[in-house]
Amino acid sequence: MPSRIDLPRRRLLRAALGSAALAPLASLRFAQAATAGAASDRRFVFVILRGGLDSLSAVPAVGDPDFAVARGVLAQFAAPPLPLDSASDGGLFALHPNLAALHAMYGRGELAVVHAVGLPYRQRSHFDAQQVLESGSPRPYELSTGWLGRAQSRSASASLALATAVPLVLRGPGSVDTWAPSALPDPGADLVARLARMYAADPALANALERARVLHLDGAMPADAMRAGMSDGPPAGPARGGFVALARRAAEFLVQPAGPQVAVLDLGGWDTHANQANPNGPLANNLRQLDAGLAALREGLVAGNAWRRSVIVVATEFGREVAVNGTLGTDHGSGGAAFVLGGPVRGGRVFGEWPGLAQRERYEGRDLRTTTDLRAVLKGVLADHLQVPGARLDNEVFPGSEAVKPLALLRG
Amino acid sequence: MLPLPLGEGRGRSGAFKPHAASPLSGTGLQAGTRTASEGREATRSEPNRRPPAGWSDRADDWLGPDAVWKRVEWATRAADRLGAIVDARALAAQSLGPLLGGATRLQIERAADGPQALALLLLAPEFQRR
Repeated sequence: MPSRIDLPRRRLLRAALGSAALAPLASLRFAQAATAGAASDRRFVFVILRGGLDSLSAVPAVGDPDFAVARGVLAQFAAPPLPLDSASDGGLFALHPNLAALHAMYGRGELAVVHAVGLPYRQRSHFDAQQVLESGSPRPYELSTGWLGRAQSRSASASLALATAVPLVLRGPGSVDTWAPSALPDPGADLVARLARMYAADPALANALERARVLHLDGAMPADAMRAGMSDGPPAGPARGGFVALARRAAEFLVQPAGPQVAVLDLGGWDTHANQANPNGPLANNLRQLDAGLAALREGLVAGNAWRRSVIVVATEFGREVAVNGTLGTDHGSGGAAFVLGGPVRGGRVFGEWPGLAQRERYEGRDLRTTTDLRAVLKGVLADHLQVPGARLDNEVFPGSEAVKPLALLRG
Repeated sequence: MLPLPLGEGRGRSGAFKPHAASPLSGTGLQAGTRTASEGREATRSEPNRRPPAGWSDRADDWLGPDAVWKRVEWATRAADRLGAIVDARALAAQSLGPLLGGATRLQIERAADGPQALALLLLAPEFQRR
C-alpha cells in the first residue's frame, strides 16, 4: 500500500503528532499565528534540477581569463552568451543563449544568480547528493524528512508538489498535496541510452530496443552513437513541453488566496555526460525548457498579482567538472549555480565568491570549488520571505547549520 | 530517498519473498501490472491468466520492438509514480540478490535520479529472462 501519499493515514499521523508532547509549543504556535498573517500571502517555489546542471554552460564565466582554455570546446556557444553586467564584477558572467527570459528578468532586477554554490556533500553521487539537497542534512540518509517540509510544519496552508508523489524535500509533519498532469510521461532519450548500455550483453534485447528506439524517438541515429549518448532527442524528465505546462499550473494554484504557500517542481535530464555542445542536444533543449517554464511561472504569478510576493529558488544537486570529458560532455562535480527570482529579490547581480577556473583553483583539481553553502541561500529566503525564525532554521530546518550565515537576497 | 521499508511490506503480505520474479512483488507496492518470465507466474498467486500486452510468454512476441517499447513505457510511468519513494539500489539487491548482474547494478548506481534508477531496474534483463 502506498504509504506517504495515503491521505487518511497522513491525517492520523498528524493528529498523533499534534497531541503528543507538543503542549509547551502550543502557546508559541498561537503567538506565531497572530503575527504570521503578514507572511501567509507570501509564495515560495523550489525548482529541483535533477542530474547535476552544468553550471559553467548555464552561467559561463566568460570574463575569467582561464575560461576558454579550461572549458575547451564547451567554451563555445552556438549563439553569443547573454552578458550579466553589473558594477561589481565587470562582465565576468553571462547566461547561456537559451536563457533569454531569465536574462530579461536579470535586466529588470528580478533575478539573482548565485555561483560557486553547493552542498556540504561532495562525493558526486546523484542518490546521495539529492538526498542531501532535499533533506537539509549535511550527510546523506540521516534525515527522512525534508527541509521545506520541516520549515512548513507550522504553516496553516498545505504545500503543493507538482509531481505524482511527494518529494523528500516536502516530507514532514505538515500536509502536502500532489498534482500531476493526466498525460503520462514518455521514455526519454537518456533513459533509452542507458538501457542500451544495460542490454549490451544481450543481443536480442539490444536489437529489439534499438529498432523500437528508431521507431519511437526523434532523430534516429546509429546504435553506437546512441550508446555514447550522442543522440538528439527529447529531454529526459517530463514530456517535451511538460515542464512549461507544470509551471503554468503551479502559478494557477499559487495565486489563489487560499492556495499553497509553497510549491515544488522537478526538472530532470541534466546528467549530461556526453554531447553538451550540440545546439539541439539534451543540455540545450533542457535549458530552453527551463527558461520557458520559469517565464511561464512568472507570467502566471504576475497575472494573479502574486509576483511581488513570490520567490523562486532553482537549485541542482551539484555542478559538473570544469574540463570536458572524452564524449564532449562533463562528469559529476561540486560547485554550481543557483537562481533566485521573484518580485522581492535583489536581482541584477551575481552573489558569491568566484574561486577561479585554473586547475590549482579547482576542487580536487576537477570541479568548480564551492565557496557558498546552498543552505545560506535557502536560509536567507526562508528567514526573510517566509519569516522562519533563525533558531528554527539552525536547529530544525537545517540541523547543524549554525555556522552557515543566511544570504541577504531579498529587498527591504 | 530511503531504502524500501520492508516492515510495511512484510506486515501486509505476510511474507517477503526475495529473488522474486518481479521486483515489486512482496513489497506491497502496486505498479499496475506484473512481469512474467517464461511461463512462470509472479509470486502473487492468481488463477491462470493470459499475460498482459508486452509480457507474452513466447520469445517472438516479447522480443519484438513493440513489446519492448511497451515495457519501456510502462516502466517509465511506474517509475514516475514510485521513483521518489523507492530506492532502486536497495530493491535491486533485495529482489535479485546474487542474480543481479554487473551491467544492471552499474546502470542503476549511475542513474541520474530515483525514477530513472527504478525504470532501469524494472527493465533489467534479469527480470526478462529467468
